[in-house]
Amino acid sequence: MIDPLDALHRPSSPAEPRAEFAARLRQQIETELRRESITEVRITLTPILAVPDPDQAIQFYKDAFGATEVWLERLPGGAVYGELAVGDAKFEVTNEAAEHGNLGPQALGGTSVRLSLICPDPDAVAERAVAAGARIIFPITDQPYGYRQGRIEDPFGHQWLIGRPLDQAEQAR
Amino acid sequence: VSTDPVDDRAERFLALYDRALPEVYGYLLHRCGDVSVAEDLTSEVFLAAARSVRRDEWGDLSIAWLIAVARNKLVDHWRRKAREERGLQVMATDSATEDVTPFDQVEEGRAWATLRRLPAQYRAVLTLRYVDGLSVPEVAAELGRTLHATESLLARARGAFRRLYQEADDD
Repeated sequence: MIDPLDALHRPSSPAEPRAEFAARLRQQIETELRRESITEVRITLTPILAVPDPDQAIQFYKDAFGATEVWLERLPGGAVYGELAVGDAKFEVTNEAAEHGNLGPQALGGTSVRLSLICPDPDAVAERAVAAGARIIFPITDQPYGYRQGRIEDPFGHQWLIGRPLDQAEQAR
Repeated sequence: VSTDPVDDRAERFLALYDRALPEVYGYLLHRCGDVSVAEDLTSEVFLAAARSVRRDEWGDLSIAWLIAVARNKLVDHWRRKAREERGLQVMATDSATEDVTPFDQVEEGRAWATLRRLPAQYRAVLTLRYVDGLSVPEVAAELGRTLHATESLLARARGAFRRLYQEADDD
């Protein structure tokens, strides 16, 4: 008797797929073949802020800067990753991860990176941020280097420069 | 005839797609026994190949190469299934419930029916060894296991196959 396992041998076994499937996949392949090459990806740089409580921080950035949520991911271990946008400017917010050396300014007792937000009305933005719980480090004023700018510290210790360039008439004053 | 190298590449790949589709799809369908799984894996194979063509990495792109990619996808599929089965503590004979899509394109021999009732891990090793006719070292490479572990898995899988095949006879 032939071994039933040997009866399974079938190196080639063509089969016709469903016509709709074949046509759809052909279209997906055509799209894939014509997609722009990976080298044409736009270069961007996005700060990722470590905070003790991302949900609380995200709410603050919404209240303070009018940020909108681009996406939010809750990871199985309880960590939260969110990307926020203020206009075209994007930044991410996530939990501190001491095991990877990602600590917030309060845990570190200082901050090595300041975030510079350029926006049309820095006075209004700073005012809103303070109302939402930020602390003023330097008030918004016309600066000798051609900016109207000030600095605040958010409730998680991250420092934000908030400003805009002065126009020529303002600089001449 | 197109002179644009991008168009030319696309045309060549689409021509290969038309010739290779029944081979790749049939390879996967006969082995997984599930139309929707076979379609998903077939898409993965061709889209991965299309991406390498777009990056100008034709390599030795051929039907044999596509079948080798399909075999990798199938092994990944069975690995995921084996993990699910371990999670659910499925008994050997319960895995037949996996194949929900009617599978009438292929004649149902008793050996094939037996193979489909085995847990994913056994199905994977027996399919590579007997259906595909790979050597034991080749099977070990596909599964990412040592030769010794593969031989012992094969022995257990053959045992389970023969018991189940015999039961079908006794019914």
